[in-house]
Amino acid sequence: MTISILDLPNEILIDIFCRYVSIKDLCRLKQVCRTFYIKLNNYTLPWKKALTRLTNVSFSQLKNAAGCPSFENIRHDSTILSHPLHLPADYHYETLYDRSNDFPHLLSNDYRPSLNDLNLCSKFDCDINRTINNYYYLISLAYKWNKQNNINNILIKFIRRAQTSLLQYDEHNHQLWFTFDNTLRCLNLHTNHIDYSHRFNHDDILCYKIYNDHLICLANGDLLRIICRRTNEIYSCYNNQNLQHILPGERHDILSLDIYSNDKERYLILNGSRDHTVSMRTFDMSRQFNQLIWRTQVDDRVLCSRFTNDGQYFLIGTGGTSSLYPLILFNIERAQPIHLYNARYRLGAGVRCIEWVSSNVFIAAGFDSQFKEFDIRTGQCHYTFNDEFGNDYCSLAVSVDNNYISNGIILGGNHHSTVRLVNRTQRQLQNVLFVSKQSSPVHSLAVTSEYLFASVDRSIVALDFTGCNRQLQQIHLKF
Amino acid sequence: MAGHKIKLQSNDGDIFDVEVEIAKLSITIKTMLEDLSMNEEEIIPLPNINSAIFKKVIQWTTHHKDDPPLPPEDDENREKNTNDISSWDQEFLKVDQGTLFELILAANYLDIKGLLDVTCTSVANMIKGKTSEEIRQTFNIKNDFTPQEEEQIKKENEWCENK
Repeated sequence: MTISILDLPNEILIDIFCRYVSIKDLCRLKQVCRTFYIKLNNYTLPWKKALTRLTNVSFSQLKNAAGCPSFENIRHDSTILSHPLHLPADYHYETLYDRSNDFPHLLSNDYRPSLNDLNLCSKFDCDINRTINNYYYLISLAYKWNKQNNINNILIKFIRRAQTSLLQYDEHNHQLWFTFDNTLRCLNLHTNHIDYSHRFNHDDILCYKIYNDHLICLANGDLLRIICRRTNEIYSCYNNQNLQHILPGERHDILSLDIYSNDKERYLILNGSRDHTVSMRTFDMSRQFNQLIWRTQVDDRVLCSRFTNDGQYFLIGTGGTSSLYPLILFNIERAQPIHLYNARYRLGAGVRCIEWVSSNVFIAAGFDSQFKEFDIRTGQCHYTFNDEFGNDYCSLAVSVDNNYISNGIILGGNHHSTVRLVNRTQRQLQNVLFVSKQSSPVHSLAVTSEYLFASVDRSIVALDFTGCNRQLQQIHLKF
Repeated sequence: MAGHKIKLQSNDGDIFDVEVEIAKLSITIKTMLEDLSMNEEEIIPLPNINSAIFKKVIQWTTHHKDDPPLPPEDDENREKNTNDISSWDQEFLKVDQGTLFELILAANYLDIKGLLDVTCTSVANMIKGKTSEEIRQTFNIKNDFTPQEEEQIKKENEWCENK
């Protein structure tokens, strides 16, 4: 008795489906018989492969393009889909692509098939629940997106409005700074009192930097605010005399900033923006005066920026969707890159966070499963850490203390609320901690000698490293 | 070691003398020889393979014994972008479908990556560009959808048809 194609084991059948079979072929295969239909509904790999070929991008690039514009501080309950707009109040939407530019237009045909096993929804948000994480829909949409020839094609991203805290630890004063909705606050870890609180109504706080007791810089949407702490004066710098529009309707949010000063008099303020620009400003403390020195454009969104130890140079990390060099070194004097780090980045891997380990060595992580270690003296990547289960890092912290996480690198993942501790000297993944029961990105991390703070969703989780039993306790924000 | 042979037995009882070098292209047999340190005189049984198929497998491995090892696959990065099959392999794979699928199962069981690759590609090539009905004809598959289901599935897959 001869055997037929239906007798082949699942993994072989799926393997065959992955082999240079187009999306059209897959759709036709689905219509052949029940066995094929069920298999192609259950396995996403063939679709993923076909989509990769179709759009000619790596999957991390697609993830980057689809999932990130507000990644810094908005919960990851978002997706791209076509959808009639009956949204709950705490959702908002963002048009990623619209041919007609005449919002709101929706796709004339809704191709979502009826779902049998996923109907768990309440009336309120059913459409969102059903469509999130369904590759099949995303693929049909990305496919249409790619064609770009149908006037009705729109891509919309739904975002749940919940701003997650951004953390910074000030070791001189033993204070933990955090954002809470549109408010910047500072918790004194000695007294457990809030030392500072200021509300910014203009927009979300996208990033900030505390510099000693003197200066706070803060990105309030597309506005750069400089706060002098002696006088409590707030200076607003309008950043939107933009060089050019990237896309109509594109926002000019400031996604990263850093401060440097060696005399506490003249401050250098660096900021990188979603509109692909990098700007350098100075702030003069005695004259209370700020000035734009230069501004330049790079090839992608600027996701992070850091000065070097001596303040002569700085590094930026970009989304890397169009170039293989997402990590760039600048001299503060000139509006031109002086070094592109060649570290075999994949297209779309991007650099989302940079952290200094010592005055010459830094670590960079992005949307892929790796972090890389660089030496500024050689200009080379001298170590790549690859963790096949970790991917899409959205925060990074480095501890150089000799405590439990001695000399550790701490990575916050974008999925499943994971924090990874990597021992830097042994180059080994030491621990994976799940810091929340819900699957939320770990947006921000701060390390002190006693605690590791991780911000997830609507709360800040503190891991206590003082006792031998590492207790995981949740500090609810009741301020 | 060249010319050194081992004995392999198919599930219908025939015993084959195969050069060790060639037999070791099968990771399964290689593991058996190395890890289990089987005696050289011992007959290794292959309970999942019949003589006809095993002959084909030996034919293929003999021809490909000097091939460079395949590069390890990287899930995302390296995408095989051709479905090309060498002319020798094409000739080799001119067999009926039943034999082709049995070769796939044998390659899978014996863990011979190159053979699995070429046989799966051959099947993928039989699918490419065909309509659903043509695929059914090719592989002799019965359409087990009800007319209503068929209509619905057709509708939900329309988006990829109208280019």
